[in-house]
Amino acid sequence: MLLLALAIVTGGGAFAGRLALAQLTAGWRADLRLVVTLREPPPRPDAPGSVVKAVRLLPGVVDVRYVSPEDALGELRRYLAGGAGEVDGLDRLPANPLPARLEITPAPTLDAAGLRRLVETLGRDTNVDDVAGAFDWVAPLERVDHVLRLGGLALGTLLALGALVAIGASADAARRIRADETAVLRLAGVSEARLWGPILLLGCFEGLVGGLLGVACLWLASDAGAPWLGGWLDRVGFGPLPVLPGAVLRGGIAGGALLGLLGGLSGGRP
Amino acid sequence: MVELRGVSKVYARAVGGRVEALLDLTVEVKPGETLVVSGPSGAGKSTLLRLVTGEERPTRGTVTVLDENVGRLSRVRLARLRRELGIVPQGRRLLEERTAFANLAFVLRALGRSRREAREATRETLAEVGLTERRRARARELAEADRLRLCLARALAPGPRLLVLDEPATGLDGEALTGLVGVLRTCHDQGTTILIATQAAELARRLDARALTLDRGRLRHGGTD
Repeated sequence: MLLLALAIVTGGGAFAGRLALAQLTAGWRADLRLVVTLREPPPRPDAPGSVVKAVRLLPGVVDVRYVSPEDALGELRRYLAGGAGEVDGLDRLPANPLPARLEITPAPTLDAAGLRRLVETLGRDTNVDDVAGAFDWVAPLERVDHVLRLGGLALGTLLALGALVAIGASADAARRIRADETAVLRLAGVSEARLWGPILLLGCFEGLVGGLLGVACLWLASDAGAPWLGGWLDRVGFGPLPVLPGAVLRGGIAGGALLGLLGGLSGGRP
Repeated sequence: MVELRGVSKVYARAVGGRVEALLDLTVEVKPGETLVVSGPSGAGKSTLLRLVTGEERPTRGTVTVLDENVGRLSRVRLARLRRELGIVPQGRRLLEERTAFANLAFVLRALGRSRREAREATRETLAEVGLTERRRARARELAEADRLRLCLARALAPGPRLLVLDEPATGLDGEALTGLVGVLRTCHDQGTTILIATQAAELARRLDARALTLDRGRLRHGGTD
């Protein structure tokens, strides 16, 4: 039962960890932009327009915003004015030094490899001078997510298999203890369902208790314990603790009972 | 009621080779009849009984009990058939740590009787076999004759149509044997069909029953051609 509870806590914990990670990175992904600096002067007069059209059609691109040299200068002027910087100096420049640029919003589902491919594709365009984007954090977080997913799954499966073997051994022991009774009852014509039923029920009960225990631990950590754990996680920058969906908790209990039933079956026919 | 037609049972030996426990046996037991199968140890008597109760399946031939081909029954239908049989196995197979009363009541409860019905039927059956005084004794504390009585009571309690007894006379003294004959005669008079395997050939005479003799798996005397 403890092994099964531990398996559910491991699996559910990994799931909760991934939810927390997704919550944490959702804001960062929404703010992620690729900035494409266009070549100055443009090779053709209609170059900016055609580049915007082509970029919009690239896979993984959600939105494209064209910023002309004039707009860029205006933005810089506003920025410097807000920061009490030297605005007058801009007026003394003989020409606008800022190039036109594209601000590209990539799809939030695009992974690190996809972002790299998009940057390479943009860089190959002859109208493009440079492509920049602060997305170095995406790959490490993907690795953390991968470790949580695979590690949680592997450890959870291993513990669940251990629980299955333990419940099977318990069912086998019950079968051996009841061997004399079973032999007597079988000769008397008692049905197989009635002979096997108690052993399967025992397995189911053990699985159900293990499942409930595991789900209770998850619920305590994710829901009831949120005021304490959430505050602590908030301090380390993880934001509020994700509440596990009811389907996950119900699935944990049902999975425990099912595993218990399989354990009972693996104990063998009485 | 019971019919074995051309039945053979062959066991494979663990060390190689095979043992022919029964060879081309044809036997019939009519409803209400008592048949005593006798013969020396290893003659195939217990094998015959285990074929009738469905604990074994024949290698060849058919075993029909209460119009059911026992060799082809599913577990579910075999259990249903056994509810019509009262089986006294060799070695008795009692629940040693339970009282005589509990040994009986446990089976009746498992067969679906209510607690009250099981208690009443247990009381009546223990009285029938003369075990009322010893009802609180654990099975392991009972003498051989009482163990047989308890086993007989367990077989009789559900009200079987066919009673199958394997070596019921083993370990019984003269008085206990007389008691056994008395109980079996009562069952016979009530219309129960009885099939007995025993080394005590005189049991057939004392029961006025039809007898047949087996020797090394073959019928020597008293079968159906």
